[in-house]
Amino acid sequence: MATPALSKHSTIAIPVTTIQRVIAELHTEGRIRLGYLGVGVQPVAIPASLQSKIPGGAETGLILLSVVSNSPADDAGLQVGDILLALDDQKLDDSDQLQMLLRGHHIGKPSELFILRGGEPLKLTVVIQEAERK
Amino acid sequence: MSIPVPGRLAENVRQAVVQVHGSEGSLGSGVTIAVRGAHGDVITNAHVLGGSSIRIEAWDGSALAAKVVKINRSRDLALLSVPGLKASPLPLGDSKVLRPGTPVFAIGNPLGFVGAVSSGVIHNISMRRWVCADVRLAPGNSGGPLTNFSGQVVGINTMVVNGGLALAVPSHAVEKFLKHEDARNLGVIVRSVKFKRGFGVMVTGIVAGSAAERASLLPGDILAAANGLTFAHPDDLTDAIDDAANGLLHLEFYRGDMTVTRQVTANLLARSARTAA
Repeated sequence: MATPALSKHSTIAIPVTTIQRVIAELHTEGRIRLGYLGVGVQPVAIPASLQSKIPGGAETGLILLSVVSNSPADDAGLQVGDILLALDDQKLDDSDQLQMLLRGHHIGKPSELFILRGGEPLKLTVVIQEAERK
Repeated sequence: MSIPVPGRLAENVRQAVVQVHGSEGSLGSGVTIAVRGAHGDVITNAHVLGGSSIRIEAWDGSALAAKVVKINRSRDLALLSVPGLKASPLPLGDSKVLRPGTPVFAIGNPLGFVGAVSSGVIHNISMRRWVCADVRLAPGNSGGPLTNFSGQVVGINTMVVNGGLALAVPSHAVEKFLKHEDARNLGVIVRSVKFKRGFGVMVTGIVAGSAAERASLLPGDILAAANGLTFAHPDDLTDAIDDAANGLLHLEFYRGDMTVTRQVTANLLARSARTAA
């Protein structure tokens, strides 16, 4: 779907997969829900010495720069310096991917986070909250 | 008619300032400094040089060839040896005692105007790695002195930010640059973080073959202190490396729930990074 609303300078089209996902969620939920974890992240390269400790391997992850007090991340025990590798077995390579995974079916249910802490792999359970509407 | 005192001071400073012509057509400024190890030599910005063939023009019009004695690109400083240069060197002042409102001169060769003078005041002192002054700079001022009204060099003018504020390398950093034999680094990419234990400098990347890699530092390690100095500012790690005798650092850091201490010797920067090609 072509739209002039997103850019004045070039033609932007919304992918059909996005339209299908949004329509499906509007049908089932009546609104678009966004998840909230409560972290600030940045992509980092995983040193070669640690890659062998990660089942399936991973060259990049998301390092936590901040953890909001009393957020789902804080409740799950996440700490500044932890490196997020996967959420429910889906790899996390960049922050856009994390934003995508925080939508929809993960909200309100226990999800498994696979992380590196101090160079050691660790699994934590997190319950992603729905983000407050502004 | 006698020259007003600030004018006389500016004239003295102008005689210590030189034009620096880089080999790629770049034009900057430089200043002769009167400190041990650099007497009669010229301090300038590293980014002014642009190659190995460097020419100096002094205030009296003499044109001389210059050689790079020492260079630190991360601190953007270079020391040039200029045989035959006749210029009265300036003393280094103490950039740590500057306060907002302290009057300063910036002297250099902006846009090719030789020995041009602008004046202003110290704008703020919130950036430890820079002296921030409200003085007018333009291309060509780089490498020239920022002086107080006693004629002491308190900074080396380096860049313009935020719509016109001048940033100068503080004189205490110039002093360190002259004192230390060689620049060193740890080989980490870091950013400051606030976490449950307070402030720290977190490792987000490790350079292959670096001292950090040899010491088995990891992304996510949060550096808290070095050689007894507890980090309270993003620049504290850089300062600790600069101050470490022979580059030896006793690092304290947090790794997950553990507190770890480790000895590491910061790498000498590669020769190509220290001297112009």
